[in-house]
Amino acid sequence: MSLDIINADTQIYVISSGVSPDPDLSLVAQIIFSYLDVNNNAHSVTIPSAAFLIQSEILITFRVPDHCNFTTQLITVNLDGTQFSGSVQLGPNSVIIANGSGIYKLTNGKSNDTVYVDSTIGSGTTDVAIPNPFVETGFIGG
Amino acid sequence: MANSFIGELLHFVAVRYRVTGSGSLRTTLQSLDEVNAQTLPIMTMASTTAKELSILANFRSQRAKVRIETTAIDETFNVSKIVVFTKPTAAGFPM
Repeated sequence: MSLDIINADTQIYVISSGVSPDPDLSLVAQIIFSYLDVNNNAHSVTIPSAAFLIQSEILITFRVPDHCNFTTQLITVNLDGTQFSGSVQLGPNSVIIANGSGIYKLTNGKSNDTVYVDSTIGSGTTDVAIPNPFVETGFIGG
Repeated sequence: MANSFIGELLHFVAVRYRVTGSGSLRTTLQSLDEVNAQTLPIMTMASTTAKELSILANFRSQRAKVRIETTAIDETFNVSKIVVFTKPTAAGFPM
C-alpha cells in the first residue's frame, strides 16, 4: 500500500478492514519501510512487530525511525507476515441445483436407498444407508 | 408364554437366533415405552451357518421386546427363529 508521509517520527497508521481479501494485520511479523532520501537514493528499514505502537486485526501504528532522512515523498509499506492467498470471484456466480427430491421406486432385495444428488458429482445418484432399519418382536411377558 | 407371566417381573437371560445374512446384527431388549433397554453384544452374521448362537443378556422387566437391526449400509439379515430365555423373579411391583 502507499502512504503520504510528512517527515521522520511521524506516526503511521496501516489500516485494513480485517476481512479477506484484506490482510489480518494481527499476523504481521514485521514491516519493511522503504523510502527515498534527499538524494533520491532508496533505503529500507525493517520495523519488527515489537516496535509497533498498536497492532490488531485492523490497525497497525508505528513511528518513522528518527534516522530516516528524507523529504516528503511517496513511500511504500510492505507487510511481511501471513498474507492473503486465494482469489476473489468476479463476474456472475454459478448457481448449482442442490440435492433435490425425486420419484423413487421400491426394489425387491435392494439393501440401500439410491437418491439423487448434485449432478456435478458422479452420475447424479448415490447409494445411502436406509435410515435406521430395524424389526421388533412383540412384548414378551404378561 | 406371554400369558404365563401376568405382571411378574421377568429376568431375560439370553436370546437365541437362527439367523443368516451379512454384516453385524445388533440386538436390544427394551421395556415398555423403552424406558429401560439393554444392547446385547453384536453378532457377526454369515450367509450360511450350522449354529444357532445364544446371546447372553441380563435384563429385568415385566415385559420386554426384542429389537433387531443392522449397523451399516448394505447389511442384511434373515431371521427364521428367535428364542428368548426368561425366568420370573418376582410376583410384581408393589405400590
